[in-house]
Amino acid sequence: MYGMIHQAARRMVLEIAGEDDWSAIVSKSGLSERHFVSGLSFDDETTFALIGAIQEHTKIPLDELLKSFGEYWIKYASETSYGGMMKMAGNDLVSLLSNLDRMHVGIAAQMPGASMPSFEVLDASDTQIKIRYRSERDGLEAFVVGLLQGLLNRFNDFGEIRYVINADFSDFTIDRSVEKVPA
Amino acid sequence: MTINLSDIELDRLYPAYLRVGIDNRILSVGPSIARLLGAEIIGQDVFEAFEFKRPSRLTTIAAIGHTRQELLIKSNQDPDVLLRGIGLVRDDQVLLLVGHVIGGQDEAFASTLNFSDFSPTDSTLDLLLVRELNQNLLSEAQAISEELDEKRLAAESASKAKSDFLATVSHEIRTPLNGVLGMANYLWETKLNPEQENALRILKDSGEGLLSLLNEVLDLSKIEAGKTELRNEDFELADLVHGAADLFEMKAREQGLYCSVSTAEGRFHGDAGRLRQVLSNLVFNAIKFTQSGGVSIQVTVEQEHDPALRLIKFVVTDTGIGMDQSTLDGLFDAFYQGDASVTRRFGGTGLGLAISRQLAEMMGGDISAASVVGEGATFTFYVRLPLLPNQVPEERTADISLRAVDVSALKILAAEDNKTNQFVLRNYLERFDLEVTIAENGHDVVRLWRDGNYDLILMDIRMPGMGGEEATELIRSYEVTEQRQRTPIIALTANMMREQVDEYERVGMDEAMAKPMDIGALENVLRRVASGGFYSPSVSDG
Repeated sequence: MYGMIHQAARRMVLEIAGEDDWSAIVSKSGLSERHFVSGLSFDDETTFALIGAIQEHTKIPLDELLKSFGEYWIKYASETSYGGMMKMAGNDLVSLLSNLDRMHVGIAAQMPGASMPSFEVLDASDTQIKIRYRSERDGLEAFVVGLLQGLLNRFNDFGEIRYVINADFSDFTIDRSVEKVPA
Repeated sequence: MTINLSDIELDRLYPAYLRVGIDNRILSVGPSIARLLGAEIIGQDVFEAFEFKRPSRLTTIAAIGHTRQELLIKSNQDPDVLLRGIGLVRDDQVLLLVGHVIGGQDEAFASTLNFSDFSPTDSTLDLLLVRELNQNLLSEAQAISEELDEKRLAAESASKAKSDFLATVSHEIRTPLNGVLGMANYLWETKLNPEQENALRILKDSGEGLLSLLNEVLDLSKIEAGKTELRNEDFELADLVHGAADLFEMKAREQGLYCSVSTAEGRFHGDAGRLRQVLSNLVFNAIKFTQSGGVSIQVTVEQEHDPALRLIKFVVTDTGIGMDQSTLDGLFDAFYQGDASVTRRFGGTGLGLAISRQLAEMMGGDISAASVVGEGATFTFYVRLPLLPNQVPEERTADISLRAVDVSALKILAAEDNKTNQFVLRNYLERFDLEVTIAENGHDVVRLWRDGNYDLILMDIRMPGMGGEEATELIRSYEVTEQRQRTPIIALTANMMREQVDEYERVGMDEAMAKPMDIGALENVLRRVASGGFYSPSVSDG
């Protein structure tokens, strides 16, 4: 994965935990400063080592951590210099989901070797959106739940997310009829 | 085959299309044009709504059927919409199948575009994404660069603080050390019983060891901080090699060792002092670790690709105790000195080789060592320096003849405010049957010099009132205005960092001698003054 993922992880930990915790995590993960250069590519083991170190340090269950990270990734991309790209991709949830693959193609042109996931909008209505997710990486469904939640947040939309794992893909459903209960 | 596209299909395939009637009126537009330029564009004359950059001479839209040129049009209203494509004449309409071009517009325009403005077959969008990513990477590179700059400045500041600290500590240690070693040397000349002599030898050795460590720590810290600048001077290679060997010849002889020298000749341009330092260090080590046999120094010169440069290779071979591989591996690291037993037995700071390596690298070369335990060692270092054209060799008898020069008639003026150092100085000079006039500050030095007729001034730097540098500048100016003969002025100071010595020379001092004073160095200066080595001294004038 690319260093931009590591950057987002660093910013998330700094926001929720602080500098001391981050120093302990990065030391445990074995990553160095160069692993946080956004345009550099690293093997997945490096990223998993970082996520593992965060999980070990924070004691947050892995699925929960991945979901939080997915949600944070959308916030991070929107608030940092990737915001322009996100804005171009669509002004509503369905448009943006439909354009994700196209965005990934553009990114892949700049980042050779990047293995991007695919999101196909199978069906979209006012009440429900069905998305097919494909990835060369296994076990990241909780991360995708977080991504979708992050996109719902971006458009001030509400929904409940569920998924079914299949052999070559996973199908996600967002039930938009479920309204968020105000805190 | 004819393909008919519905308006919906046309919208998807060419979201920026324009349909124009043969009267030049815009009939309909794709969703991207409607979004960016507004629906009001429909009904406008296409030549009023757009500037036709290509084909530029088009006056009616129907004429587009006669050109095979690519179409490039730009909106005449904000935002700057630039479109490229082709025009197709169909019955009484012209279809401009165009897509967005990115370039020339300001950033704000690019940010108004979105994915739906581009045809799925058009990779302009990918270019736009790449541009966005590149901007991100450039911003990040700039942030990293700024962070590195901050770190570099912080490191430079820390390094300067370290150098300042070392310079201060150096002075504070050297001044009392001058007293310790001076007194030890003074006592050495007195009548001592064997027990006292042994104790004094230990005192002297320890003091000299401390001085050596102090010099090397200062030297290495300066090199590592990048503050060491090489001097550029012309020198004769053979002189340099023989000079360095001569320093150790007596020591080798005392240990019953041979010391053979074979050297190429030639005049070179470089830092002779630093070359001598590295060579001396290697020869000193070779003698230190050799109990039988001897040490040989071989210096060769090889041609380089650059015809102006030569590779000078110094090889120092000894028949000493040798080293194993693990010792060789860390040999050029600071404070490395093989195993602890070697340190205990042979002493030393372990900095000499680290300094030698750094200096060799600064001179475009390197240093290496090869050895077998019990069979001695060979150290090789090389540097690359410019060879100077052949010149008539200068007389090289000066050093030898110096020994015969009588110095007893020299009149010496010394500036020194420290009482202990005054005592040491008097004691040293008395050994040459010389009397010295002592001044305790710069004002007194200038006054005494103007009233007297001195052959040499030994000048302390830090003194109350007027310091040595200011006093020197005054003396040099009086020499010019009063047309007096130039008096050699030697800085006598504990502050011997390179930039400090450069400053002494800048204000007019001829050389600098380090405190604690080395009696051999003092003798050399005295004899050179007496023989006219600096300028023509009054003593030789009779």
